[in-house]
Amino acid sequence: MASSRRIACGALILLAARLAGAQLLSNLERERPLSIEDARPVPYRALSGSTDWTYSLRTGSLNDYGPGFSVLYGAVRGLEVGAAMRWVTRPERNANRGIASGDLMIHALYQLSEETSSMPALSGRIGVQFPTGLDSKGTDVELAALATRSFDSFRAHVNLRYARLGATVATERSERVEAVGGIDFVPGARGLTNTLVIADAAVRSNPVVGGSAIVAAELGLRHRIGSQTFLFGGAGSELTGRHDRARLRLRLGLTHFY
Amino acid sequence: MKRAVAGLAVFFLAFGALSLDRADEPFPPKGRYNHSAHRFFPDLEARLNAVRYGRWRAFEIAWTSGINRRLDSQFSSYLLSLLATPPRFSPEADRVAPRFAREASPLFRALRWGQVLEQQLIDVLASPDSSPALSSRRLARSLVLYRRERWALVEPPTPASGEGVLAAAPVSARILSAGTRLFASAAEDLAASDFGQQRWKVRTTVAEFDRSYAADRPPQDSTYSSTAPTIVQRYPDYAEHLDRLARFRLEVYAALVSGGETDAERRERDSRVAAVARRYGLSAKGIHGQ
Repeated sequence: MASSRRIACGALILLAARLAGAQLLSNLERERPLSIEDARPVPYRALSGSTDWTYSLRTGSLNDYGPGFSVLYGAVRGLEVGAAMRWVTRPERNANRGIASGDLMIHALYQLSEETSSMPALSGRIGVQFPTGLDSKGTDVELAALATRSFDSFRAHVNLRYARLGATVATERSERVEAVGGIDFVPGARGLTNTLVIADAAVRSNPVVGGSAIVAAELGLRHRIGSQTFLFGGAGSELTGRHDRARLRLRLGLTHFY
Repeated sequence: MKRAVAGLAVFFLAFGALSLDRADEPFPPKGRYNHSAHRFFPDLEARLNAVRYGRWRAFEIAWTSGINRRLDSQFSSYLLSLLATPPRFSPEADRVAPRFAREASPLFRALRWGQVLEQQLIDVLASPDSSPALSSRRLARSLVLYRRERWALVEPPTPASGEGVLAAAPVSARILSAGTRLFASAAEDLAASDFGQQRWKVRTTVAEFDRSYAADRPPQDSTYSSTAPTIVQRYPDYAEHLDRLARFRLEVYAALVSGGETDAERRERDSRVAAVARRYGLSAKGIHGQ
């Protein structure tokens, strides 16, 4: 135990000894506002905090809503660590839909390669979701591969995710996959980098065994309201899937970088 | 528990080792003074933002199309429209100049890290609690952090001329030169003793800039050494670095005059910008074709 502590202290000293331009508007974090995430971690030494309110209008009138919070930190160059939590009403029903209420999700996102003239930026992400919330059962692990390529007037993103759930009931799928593709661009002829429009489409496993895949489409924007503060909003719809799928999901929130 | 602690340590050591050679520049140095120009001198900051947008846009256009009289008129119109309604916030460089960022990464990062250094000077001096002693300490820290990065410029062994740019795009060069002079003049104004004086001097400088950038007259010397004597006297190292940055910017523009529309032009451009990068102590790795 003592040697483990020494290794841990050494690691922290090494990180602290390292030196502590930034891309803020384009830093696409998951659910801020859409599912798509870019392959670039937050800049080294940047701290970002976000909060939002999400309302899901579901088929069958069993709507739900609630706040979400997240914190990101550029721990070392190319590595972002973060934590996120979301609460929703009807936690039991949402737990069956694969939506946690109050679970703590921590993640690390590491940029494997930067974008060059011939290659997109590539990142790997590992996340662990702890069952700290209501009606939660087990610890889940998520792995993701992210790619981002910039073109003259827009950027394209692809995210591939795999999740393994720690505890499931008989009717629930324990392994889930998701593929998301999206683009973002700065609107306006003057090219001011104050607003970013984002659109994505996602295909994901149905949480219920035997259920058809869920296809969703989303549209959102991020708008700078302060030097390092952004307002974001998004709207999305699940086009296929369960009978009580979200016909419309609205999200509005704020992100601040420090 | 023991395994978890050891696993966590190995995880961070591995990522720490992997990131030792990483190129990304850090978030700008933190301090209470940050964004002071935006808060207390918004009219000045808006014009500085227009100049920043103009510089990045010029690099993006020049990287592919080169610098010539035909583009000069188009680009100068863009600059004038920006200055007519200057932007409130500074640009995100990789969205304004995406191709330049991808294909000339060392130059892009050195210029962006230099922009942070330039911004820090204005913000430190514009801070409401600034005094010569406090500003000196803050700027010394900012300079130390700047120099630690691999994107900090070193003094080249021999001086070079950027005269070719002035001849190839006289209108754009004149406006951008007036913009560079605005940075130095504003820093000199902000070095004044109190907020009242700062406010009055900055207003005069902004008004002079608004009159001058569109006027058809030869570019004036825009270096800190000629425009900002107080800055040079109080913070000589800082002024020297900013003048070096301005010379570097001009040399990069000069290296892009021919553009990169054909293979031969691209090769020539790449070797020229790589030579500029090496002169200023940067690696040429990451420049397209190098």
